[in-house]
Amino acid sequence: MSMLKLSNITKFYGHFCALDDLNLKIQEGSLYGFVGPNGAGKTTAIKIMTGIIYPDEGEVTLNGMRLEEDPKQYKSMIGYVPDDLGIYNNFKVSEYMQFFAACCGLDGIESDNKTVKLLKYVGLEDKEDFYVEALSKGMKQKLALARALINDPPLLIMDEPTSGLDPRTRYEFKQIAGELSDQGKTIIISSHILNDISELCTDIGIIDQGSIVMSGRITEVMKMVTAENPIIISMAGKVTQAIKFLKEEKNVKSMAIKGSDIMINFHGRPKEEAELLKRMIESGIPVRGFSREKGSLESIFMQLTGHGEERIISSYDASEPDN
Amino acid sequence: MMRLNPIIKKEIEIKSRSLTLPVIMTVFNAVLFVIGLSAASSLILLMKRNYTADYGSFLRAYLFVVMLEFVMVIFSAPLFTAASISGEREKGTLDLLLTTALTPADIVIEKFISAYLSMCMLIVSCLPAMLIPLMFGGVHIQSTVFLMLIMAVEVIFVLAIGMFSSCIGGASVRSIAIAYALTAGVTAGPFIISAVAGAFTATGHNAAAYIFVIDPLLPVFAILADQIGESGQLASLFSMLNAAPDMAFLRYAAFIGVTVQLAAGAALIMGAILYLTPRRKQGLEKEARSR
Repeated sequence: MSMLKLSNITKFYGHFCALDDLNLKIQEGSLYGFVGPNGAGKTTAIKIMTGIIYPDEGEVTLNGMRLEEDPKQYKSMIGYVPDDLGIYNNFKVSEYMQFFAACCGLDGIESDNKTVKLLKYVGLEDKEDFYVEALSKGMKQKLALARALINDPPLLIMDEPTSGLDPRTRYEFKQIAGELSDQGKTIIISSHILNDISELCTDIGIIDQGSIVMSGRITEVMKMVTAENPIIISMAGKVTQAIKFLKEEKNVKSMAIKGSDIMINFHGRPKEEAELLKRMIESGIPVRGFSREKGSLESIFMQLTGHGEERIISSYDASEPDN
Repeated sequence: MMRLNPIIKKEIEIKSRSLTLPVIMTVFNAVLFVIGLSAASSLILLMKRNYTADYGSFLRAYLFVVMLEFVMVIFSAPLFTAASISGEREKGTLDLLLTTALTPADIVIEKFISAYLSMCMLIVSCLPAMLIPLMFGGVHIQSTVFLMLIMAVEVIFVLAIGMFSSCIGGASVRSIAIAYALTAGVTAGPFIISAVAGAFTATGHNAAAYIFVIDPLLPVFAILADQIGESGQLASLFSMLNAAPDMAFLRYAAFIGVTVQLAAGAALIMGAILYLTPRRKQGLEKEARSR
């Protein structure tokens, strides 16, 4: 069942179209990685999801409730950790928590209990009386997470939560996110650190130029993109002959060379791939290896956001070798 | 036990840890005490030398000290609100507040109330300095307290200017600059506009002089002039600007000014709330799309 649904969302800033007919469904209980290049519209989409801004066109629904129907009720179902954390440095840790508890309508013993429980959960129980400005970046990040959980929201949205953290804190943070997901919370993580997304998330959405270019279960997306990855042919000699041969193949759209490896963009079915390999061997070309490059989140991202060719060129020499 | 609103509570806690308000209060009082005491002592010296007591001079010193205090209040008020919303925006906390149960109206009004309480503290702290020139009598303390109340009402307009600027200004520096430009505009603007218009209109027909009702200095000046028995000063001011308002206007100028400025303040607060309230924008986008 989809928990958060963005349908045909369009948002303009003046004449600039930040989101163009964006559609997105986030399943209940999923850990959703939301990625895209700078300026793709991630932050605008997140601000619309959290109800901070409204779209110019389209609908946002959370558990079937439209954002504009009852913004207060809608927002009560969301915990938000922005990339700049939103910290009041001149507050003590416990005061910071209690302030946001009060802003969410909690007060008195309920607020105190939640504060103690959440600070303990993120490992800041001994920092209760510290001023927020005295905390490290990682501790501030944990505090921001504890604050986002103060009203026990079913949906947690985190913008770049692991950026700038040391490896240990990043690991701890991922552990906590995993635990929250296991507890049944739906989590959306926007991040540039694609390794974190691929390790942590169950689902992914890639946004580019204001639209979702790919969305789905991360395992399925990986499989799908692997099928479109370039084929790497490792040669045991006769590279020039192999290049001449491949240039005549209609399914080979482009080619790059690195040492004795040839990387080709092959548009064809698996059967046609096998036939290509067979013909190469029959022509006396010594092929040592023939495989599709494995799909990684980075390669998916680069392909879908239009930087696939740049990646090939940067890692492979496009010119032909002398021999 | 009364539960304080979260933003008001937060602002009070933060202000109680900051030196800003005590420093402003100290500077205010120091300036007023120095000027008030200097005026009083020079008048006493004059009395000793001439063996005559000129009570009019004491009252004019009172007028000067009070007007000076009010000008200082007006020009420090934007500091209390102009960075209130923009500061939250810069810290990245405005978006967070907007994801809580607080509405934009809650945020703006609570910030406004918190700033207003600080301004009231500042005004009240100046009472002893205001009374120095009155050591020899001439004005009742009730009149001075009434004047303070008028100041407390008048400051709402200037704080509202700051709050509106804070919403539309983006960054704090820009918000503060806009707030000061608008405050200077409403205090000096009416005089400049009336003076220019007065130069081009027939004697006593300068309708532009009525723009003074938007000037926060007008009600305080009108009441003060009345308290020291020089209510004719308001008529002289209008006459200088080539205007001849009727007696009813002159008599109720303070009341009219306060009413107009409160209405303008309320409109600015509404504008600030509307600016922060998320809404769908239509029209411009469709035009852009059709291109």
